[in-house]
Amino acid sequence: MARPGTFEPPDPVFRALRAYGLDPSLATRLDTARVSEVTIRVPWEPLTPGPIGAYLEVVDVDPASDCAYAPIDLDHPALLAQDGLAPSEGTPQFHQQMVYAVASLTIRQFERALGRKTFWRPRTVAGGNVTFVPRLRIHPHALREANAYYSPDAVALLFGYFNASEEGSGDHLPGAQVFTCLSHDIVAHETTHALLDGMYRRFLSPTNPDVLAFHEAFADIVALFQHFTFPEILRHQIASTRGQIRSLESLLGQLAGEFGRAAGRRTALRDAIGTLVDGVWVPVQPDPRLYRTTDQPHERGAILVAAVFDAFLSIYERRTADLVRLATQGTGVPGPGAIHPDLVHRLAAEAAKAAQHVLTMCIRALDYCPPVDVTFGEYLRALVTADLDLVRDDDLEYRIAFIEAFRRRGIYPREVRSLSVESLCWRSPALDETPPSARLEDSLERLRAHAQAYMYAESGGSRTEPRAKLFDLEQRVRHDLHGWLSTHLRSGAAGRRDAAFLGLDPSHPFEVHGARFAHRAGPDGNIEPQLLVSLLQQVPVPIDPADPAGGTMAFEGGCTIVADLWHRRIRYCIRKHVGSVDRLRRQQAFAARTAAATARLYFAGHPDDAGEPFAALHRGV
Amino acid sequence: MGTTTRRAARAASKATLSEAGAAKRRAAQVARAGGADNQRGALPGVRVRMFRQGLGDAFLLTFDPGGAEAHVLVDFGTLGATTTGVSMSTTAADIAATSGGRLDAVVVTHEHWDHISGFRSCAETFAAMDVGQVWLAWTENPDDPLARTLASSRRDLGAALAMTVATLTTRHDRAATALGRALRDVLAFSGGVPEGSPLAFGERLDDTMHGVRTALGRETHYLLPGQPVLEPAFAPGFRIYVLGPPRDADAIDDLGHAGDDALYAVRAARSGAAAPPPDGSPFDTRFRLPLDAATTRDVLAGYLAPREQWRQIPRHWMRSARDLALQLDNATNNTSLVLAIERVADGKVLLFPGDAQLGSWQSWHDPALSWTVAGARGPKTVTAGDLLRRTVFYKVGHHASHNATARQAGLELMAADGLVAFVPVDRRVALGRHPKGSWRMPARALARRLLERCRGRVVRSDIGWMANSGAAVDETEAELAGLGSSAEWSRWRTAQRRATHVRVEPRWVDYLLR
Repeated sequence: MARPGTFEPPDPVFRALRAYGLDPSLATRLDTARVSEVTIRVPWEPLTPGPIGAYLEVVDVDPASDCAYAPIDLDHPALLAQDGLAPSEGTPQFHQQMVYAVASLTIRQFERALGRKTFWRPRTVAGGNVTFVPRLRIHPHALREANAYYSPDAVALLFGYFNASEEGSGDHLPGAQVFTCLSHDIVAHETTHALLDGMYRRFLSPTNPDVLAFHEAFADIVALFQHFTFPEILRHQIASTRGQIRSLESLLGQLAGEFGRAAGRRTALRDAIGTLVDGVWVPVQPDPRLYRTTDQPHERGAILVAAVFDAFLSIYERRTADLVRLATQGTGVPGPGAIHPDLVHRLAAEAAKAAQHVLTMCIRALDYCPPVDVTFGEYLRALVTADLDLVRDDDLEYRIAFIEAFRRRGIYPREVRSLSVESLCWRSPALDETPPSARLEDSLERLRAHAQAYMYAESGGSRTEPRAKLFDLEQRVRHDLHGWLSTHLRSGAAGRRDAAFLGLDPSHPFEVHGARFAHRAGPDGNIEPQLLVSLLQQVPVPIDPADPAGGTMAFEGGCTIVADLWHRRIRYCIRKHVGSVDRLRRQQAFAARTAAATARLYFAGHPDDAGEPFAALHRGV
Repeated sequence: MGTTTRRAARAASKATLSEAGAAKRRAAQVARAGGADNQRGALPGVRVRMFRQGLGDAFLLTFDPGGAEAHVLVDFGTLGATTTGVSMSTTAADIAATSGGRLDAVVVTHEHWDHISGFRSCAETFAAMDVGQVWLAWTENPDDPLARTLASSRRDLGAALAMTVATLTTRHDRAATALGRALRDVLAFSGGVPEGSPLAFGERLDDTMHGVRTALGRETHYLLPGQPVLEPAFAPGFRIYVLGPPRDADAIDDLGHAGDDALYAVRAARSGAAAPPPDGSPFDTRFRLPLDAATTRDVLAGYLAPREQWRQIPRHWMRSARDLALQLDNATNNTSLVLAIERVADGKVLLFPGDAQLGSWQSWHDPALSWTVAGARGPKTVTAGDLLRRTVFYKVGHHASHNATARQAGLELMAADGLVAFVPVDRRVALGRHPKGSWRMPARALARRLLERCRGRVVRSDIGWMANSGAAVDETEAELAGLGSSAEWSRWRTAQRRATHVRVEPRWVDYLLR
């Protein structure tokens, strides 16, 4: 309580931090030098040197150089007064500031779209229990290689540095030091891997060609659409393409420009819409065959990224059609020369809005994905369902734009009959072949109290970190649900029917993998308390069906349940049945196809072989 | 990139075999073989002898055995022979005796020690022999710019790795030493890391290959997929197709081409990323806090706390070395010269893929790769698929490890009755490598599929015919127990007994195409 007569200023809402716009290479090119520095506004939180906050801790240790670098104190008045350090490649403290800023921005995007707090992957301790990991570690200088990855084992991001290629380098000194932690795209990409892994831990097991590709694609999607949150860069690129993002090369559709060129390419590491043909940028026409023939996770993921970006472009074009007509006297074709600055601002505003909508759709759809073995087709269904739940009246036809973009790339869900919104939307249990029993839906009532507690825990206000409280609460809900379900599923006909409904085999143990609550605005404008539960089960099966004596693997199944606690009703049960023979066969065939990795020959069982699914993936082995 | 490759490919394909030296002998042999055919009405025969010199390849092909006899040696190396104890010098003497001191051709599939060590250790034997042609893949051609680029990127990678091994194995840190040992064992394929002088890594290999190129035979030829079919004078009635290593822009990625961004680690290695840290860091000295200083420990207190040990990253930066070693190994294996030897009269094929991995196998099916040969009713086109379908003898690649026999693009296409597979391997030696037990040769899944495709006719150079090891075997074979049901094994054993054209001898195994 402040003494009378004293003044306590209110807490700031944002902390402004300077950063490179996308990456340092923008500063060395004449056309982009003007937008090479941006100021990122991240949610305010008190920080200790590192920076260390509630979600992130930057630890700048460089084991390869046998040294560490002093941590930056962003709460120092000198830095608070000037929006942090000015961008500098030669100052490690600026690197710490930039990774913190970009990762915080990414977390904020995520939480805003999901409407709730996010968790990192918990640590599994002895006995299979999990403990809360409050902060993601970020090591800006952990590796000496052209690589950066998320380590699920250490719950950490590791960034590398390397010497740029000696040949064909575009905009940097040959052999110059390149830092992956100074690339907005790489930091956002790796942070997204960590966020997605925190939600779906089983998306690291490649049970079909789409799973790892989905991880990569999703990380790219978040990084790409974050470009649109930098107004300076967005306006600059809208002006230089005269609003024609689809048909001209721009920074908006490209990822990791400096990294790509420093590693010896002539262009960005990835480009959502174009490619170089004989050194000239051309837009890529969608080719439905690619989805059937591409297995490498990054390349396959690029198909999904292209589909989402295509949907975004359609939405952007629809939103700006009137502006373009007005500005071109109805011809739709802009005349030669620059477009009017007012038009640039209006187009940029529409692009930013469309990008925000698309990114929100993409993130929200995660709540509607199965907990294991996800495919691109199922993600499309999740997108459509999530959006239908949020926006009944699709007057700008966002959903059609998505369906169309996926269709043009040959991405179809396996089990639907037509590509209409109605048939793509997950089916409600009433239409299911095996509807749930009344007892299962009645059991939702017991969870209402938890939902109440959850809502107030999320609001914060006490000394304990709200996320730690939420985590404990989630553990309690998981135990509670597991206890009730394991009795119920083994009790008579109703139990058996519910097991089939949930995609489980009642004779094997199962796990309540996650239990979250969300409070969402329903279609009528009321607040709808939702329960999101994922159930998971592993059944041992032979790796090679022709060789029953040859070792087993775990075949996983289960479901994600989206339930409405207000009406005490299961809205969707997104199922991957553990008894599905077809799915098992596909998974075994896929395992046989991908078993050729040489690492399995020389290093199987090596202590360093554990974990790090993203390290080798990014090295291209 | 694409155009350069194609241009280079055309230039190289012009360098077909100069047949001048062999012209006279050919005439004599054709007359002889033709005469024999007319008298006996028989097809020209060929014998494949797989020596049992351990974990490595050594195959002697004898065309027209018992007749004019022309001999071709395919590879000659080992990483050790614990199971049979057959030495390289004994094998070299056997080769000299069988061939009467004359080899019409020597094929060296790729520059891995288990395929070439004998050309160094038994150099005197070869010096005393009369070697006609030496056949190498285009990737070994010092006059080919693309081959030079690939070789130099492999060399840089190797040098960086050898330095890493030297650093890791001398650290007082068990995990680092273990990684160092595992890397050293992979590098043994490239001739090993000399104790105390890592910079000399690759010299032994380069010297040996230089000798093979310049001093082994009278002429050296570099072969390229898609070049016209070889019809060597010493093997009348046979055609030889070159299937790999690939040269097109896509498949070349699998050779670790430095221009490919997916393998950017090659580039990183070249800039010293995998090498031990130099004194400096990427920043000015004033920013450095040495890790062993007490003040640094205060700064890093949270990171160094014992309960936070699970999150520390002291060795993560070294792991890239592991992946680089794999790239080096893959890249070299994929430079394997792949030959399909076809008996013209009945179209039966002997397949020698070296240690080619998946990318190479897939490249053989490139629609652009086909050959036009004379058939009974005029010219006909032959594809790799045709050759695989007619394969009756398969030299299993890379000691039957899981990654060097393509399934859909390879083994599943081999549908000929009487298919026989020969596996040059010493499982005991393979399993003894670091980390112990990890080098699974043969790999279980592949061993089973081979047994199925060959109906049991699979021979290993260490133990002879594949057998049902059952439960009571030693630990070397334990993982291969129960590969088939007892009904399957009884069928497979019968097929093995009936295969009289395969003979298992103490120092070699013969396959005879009658």
